[in-house]
Amino acid sequence: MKIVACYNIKGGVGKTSTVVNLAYLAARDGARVLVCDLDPQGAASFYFRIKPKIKGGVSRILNKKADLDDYIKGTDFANLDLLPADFSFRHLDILLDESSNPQLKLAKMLKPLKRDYDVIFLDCAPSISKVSESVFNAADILLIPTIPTILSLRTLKKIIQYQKKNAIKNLLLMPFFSMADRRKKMHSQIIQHPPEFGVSILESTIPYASEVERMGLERRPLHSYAASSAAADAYKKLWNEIDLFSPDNKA
Amino acid sequence: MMARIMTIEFLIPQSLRIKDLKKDLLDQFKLSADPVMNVQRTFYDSFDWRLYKKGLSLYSEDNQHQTKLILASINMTKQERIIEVDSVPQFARDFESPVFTSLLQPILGARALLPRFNLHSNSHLLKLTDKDEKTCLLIQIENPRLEMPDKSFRFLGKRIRLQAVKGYHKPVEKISDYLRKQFALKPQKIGALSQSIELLDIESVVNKQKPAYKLKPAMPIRDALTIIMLSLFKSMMMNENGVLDDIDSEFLHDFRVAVRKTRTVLIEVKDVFPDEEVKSFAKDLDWLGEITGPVRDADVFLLKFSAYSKVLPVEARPLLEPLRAFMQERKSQENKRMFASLRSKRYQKFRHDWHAFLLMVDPNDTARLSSLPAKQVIDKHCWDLYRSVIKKGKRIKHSSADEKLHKLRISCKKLNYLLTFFMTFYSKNKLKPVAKSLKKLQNYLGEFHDYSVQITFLTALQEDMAISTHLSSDTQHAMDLLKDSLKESQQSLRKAFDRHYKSFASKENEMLFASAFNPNYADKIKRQS
Repeated sequence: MKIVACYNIKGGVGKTSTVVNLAYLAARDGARVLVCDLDPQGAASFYFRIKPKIKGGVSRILNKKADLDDYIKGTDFANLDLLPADFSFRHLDILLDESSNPQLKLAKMLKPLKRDYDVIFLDCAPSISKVSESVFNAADILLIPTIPTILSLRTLKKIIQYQKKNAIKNLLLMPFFSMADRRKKMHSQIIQHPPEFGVSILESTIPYASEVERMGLERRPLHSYAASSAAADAYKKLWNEIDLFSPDNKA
Repeated sequence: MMARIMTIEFLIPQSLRIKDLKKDLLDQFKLSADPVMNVQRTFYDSFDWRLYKKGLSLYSEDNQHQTKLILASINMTKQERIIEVDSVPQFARDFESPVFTSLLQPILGARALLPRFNLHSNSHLLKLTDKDEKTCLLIQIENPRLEMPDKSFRFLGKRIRLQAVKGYHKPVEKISDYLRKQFALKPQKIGALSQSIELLDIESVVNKQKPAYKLKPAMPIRDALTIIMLSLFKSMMMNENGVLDDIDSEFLHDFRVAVRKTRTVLIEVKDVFPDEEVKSFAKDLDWLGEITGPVRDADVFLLKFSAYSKVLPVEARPLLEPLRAFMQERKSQENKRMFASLRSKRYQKFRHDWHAFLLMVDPNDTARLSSLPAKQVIDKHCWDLYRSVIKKGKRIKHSSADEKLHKLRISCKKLNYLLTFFMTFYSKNKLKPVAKSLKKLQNYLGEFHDYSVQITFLTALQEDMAISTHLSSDTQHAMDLLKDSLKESQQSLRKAFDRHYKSFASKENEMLFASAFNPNYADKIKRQS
């Protein structure tokens, strides 16, 4: 089982649409896929038409009063399940802080699901906190959607430095440009000449596209309603580049 | 906590029409109905039922609009996996889905997927959705018909299947309660797939493919060897059509193994059958090995091609492609020759005469050992073969030619065949460690031999390709790189010979072999120590 977290300190960079579309593509490849909606805003749950509700709140799972599996819901797509968000996730940081070994908590919670899933996607809330630390330790791959702007690149640099500073091992960072608007000179320049941060940025770029925004209306993954769009093609290229199921994958 | 109902199936009595049941459900619950579809489900497995033996089912579901391929466990204990396909690939390696390839390749290997049986049905699909239009429950009403091998149909009975979407278990409980109360429906324990497996008696079909014979230690060796060779003849015949239809490379492999084993049984244990007949049939068996060899060599090469490519740096890999194309072309030419030989009068005559010989082995023949108890002969033979392996191995030095290792491998192989055929003569406790140590040495020698064969094969190919002007200098260079890498691996393996041999020739091992095949000698060692 591989765990792929989609993360950025910044919000509104396309994390949720990345998770939803890549999870759909992984499931279409025949993998058993789980999306964990860790963002209390519950956007991934919304896209899959699933109520963002964990009965009794997240503390029941953290305190082992209930199994994670009891809260998992099947989506309308084959091989694809979702652990919905809950408003109580906003306190996850505090709850983790109260538990022993908070940085390993998430990995421990997900371990029993190894039997049932080939890949778990974590849709993370935008912040840098105990939760992100736990995500970094649980994940094999950290996908970092990055808007090609100066400020976003600064954030990316911070994440890379954070990994180095905290000596987080076995985590492959995969930043890629997201919401790219090639009509904007700065976007084009940054994409053509990305800065050297010691971590290579993926070649696939997700464009800023109205089809992606329409996911909110359609409430389903892009490929299920606009399979031939440029944005759908970009997500497909990104998924191929991640090449998660190849025996040569380094994650 | 009680287990939640995820899927439940009910048989529908003949008196209840599907149309009426469907209408009732649509009236009672907020369900939506999809258009009625004509669905064909085709179940796939290899010739030797590898998926079935692993408890798996792989079937396509074709409803004229799309084809889904579903991988599930036969007993439904694991969640199924579904992909959409244009057509069902013949081999696991050909799936577009890397996940299906990684799951099926270790089970199927080089075996082709064959359609094994079909289920036809009109499918009525009902859905229950919540206020967000999220599907919570699927209801399938069908009247499946199993297509029998004679193309007739067998109705399996009307049924209704409720399938809860994970995490939405309440509706399935509610509707199944309703079906029980309103229509007195009873849950059906086995689904259409399990019913089909029972009706087609697949378990017997699978069992018939296993070699089944009973050998008794006291029976004449002639009878024991005849029984084994009859079983090997059956295996040859079972694979013959697959070879001629060119379904997959395993048919030829298994055919050749049966030929090779027959030759060992016939020739190795001497003075059991009349000398003249042994010589004549051995000649035919050698001929069968020769006519099938080139195609098998091509098969092995093509099966190993991706592993060969990976030896080279990524940018050099495409340079090997002309080699693959050349081998595919050669295989098709060699196939034609082999098919002609397998359809020849010589082969037909051999097949007939050999079968007749096995059926009419003369119990009164005068060959020296033919009436001796089988175990007595096999004990001596296994012990002699063991001693011969020890002697041959001892003579191998660092400077010895590769050929000597090859000859040692052949002796090991013969010994292994005999252990496999006559395993029932010995207690498991005695045979297991003996077989394990032999297998270890045999695997080592096999790997070493493979390198020799591959290097020789590649050298010959380079020459052939150069003659037929297929060989560019880039491809030539890539092949040289590949050969160098194979030679390097072979040389490093060669250095490990002493270690492997010494382990096999240890005193402990000698004691194990002696205890199994020469108890007097084992006693002697014990007394000496």
